[in-house]
Amino acid sequence: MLPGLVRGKGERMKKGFVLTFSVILFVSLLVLFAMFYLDKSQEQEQGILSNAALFKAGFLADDIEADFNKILGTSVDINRGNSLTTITFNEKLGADTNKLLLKSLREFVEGALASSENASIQLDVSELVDGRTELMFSNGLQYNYSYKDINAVQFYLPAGNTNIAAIDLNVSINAASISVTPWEWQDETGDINVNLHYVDRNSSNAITHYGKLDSTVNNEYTFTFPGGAGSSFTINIGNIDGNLKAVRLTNSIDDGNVQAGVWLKVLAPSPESPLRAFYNADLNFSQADVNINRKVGVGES
Amino acid sequence: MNKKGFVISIDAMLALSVTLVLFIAAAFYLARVESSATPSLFLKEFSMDAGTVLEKTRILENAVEKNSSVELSSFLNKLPKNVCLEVSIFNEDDLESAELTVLKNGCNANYAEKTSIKRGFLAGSPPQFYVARISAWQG
Repeated sequence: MLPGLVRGKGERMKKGFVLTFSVILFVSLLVLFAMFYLDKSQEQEQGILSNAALFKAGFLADDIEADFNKILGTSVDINRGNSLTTITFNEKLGADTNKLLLKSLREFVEGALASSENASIQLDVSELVDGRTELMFSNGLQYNYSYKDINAVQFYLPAGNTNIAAIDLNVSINAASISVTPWEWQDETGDINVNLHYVDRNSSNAITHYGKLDSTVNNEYTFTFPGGAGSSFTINIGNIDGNLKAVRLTNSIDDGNVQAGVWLKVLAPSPESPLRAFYNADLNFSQADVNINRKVGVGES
Repeated sequence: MNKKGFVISIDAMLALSVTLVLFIAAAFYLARVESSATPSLFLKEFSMDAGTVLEKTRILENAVEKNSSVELSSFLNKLPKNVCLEVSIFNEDDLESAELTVLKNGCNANYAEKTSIKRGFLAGSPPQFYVARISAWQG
């Protein structure tokens, strides 16, 4: 055999070996990739399943908060701007729903709802069934609804100054007032801008006025209604029991069927962090390894 | 020459077998990759959204107070075609037997593949608590 022919065969065998080895190497890498891909997808699946438990916990908390807010009936909208935040309350004095229904909500949530969801839920409403509900803001502002003897709401900073720059107030009452005792507008020296719109079934007592009030004094507007002494609807703005730039609305009309629809918008300085509103009630939820412990939320901006 | 050919054939067969085994191993691992959680999670999220909308638009409340499923059926029938939903409403005192059950038109109850969520709500005068069970499956 010629030496060149032998060398040619040897090279072909080497090429065949390289080709076979390359194919095996490639397929081995394919197997390794498949193993890695399977492992990764199983890991992702676990991640998705653990998120599902979190979604469910959040959904349940939202469900409880929706029922909670429906019973209390106060609608709050917060819009935080760069320097000023608008907080809007929509309210009825007296309320459509008995606020003591919160006790039944607690029983329902801790009993029927918890057992149907196979979860442990505790809802502490003790601070809200004592005749006053407290809606708190993360910057210390507070909005109380008193419902024990009279129906009244108050927006204030406890032992402080809300520093609100403007108040927009709309009140509508389904009864006829008999007389009015107004406050004194201080358009020259006042430091709170107030836009007041009031209407009841006595059109001669309707008011639409934009002016200023002095925040260092307790400015009071009283609408007297038929009934015993003190049957009235009162608006207070300014220094209320030492709380500066506060707002209070009181429905002490001697007729349980009379309802005051209130729309109150205040312009307050924006806090640096998001402003959160929550009720003074604790919600504790636990299911498997997911736990939620928080105040019952209303809104955030 | 014959021996050499035999050796080459054995060698080729062996290489082919190893390659084939490795291919089968790769296919085996890839076949095990499945994402059963994703569709189920989608259905769960869909049910949660539906439950939230049904409560906040007062459709559940109206269904109890008017003892009517018209609004509820109308809501369900507007949902995407590939999702089936069934809503059952229970009084808090009896979570076993539903007071009202509504199934989306064109869907057959598929209890093997469904995901369910529950949402509490308030209805009636005086107000009472109810639980809505919302079950979803792919249609």
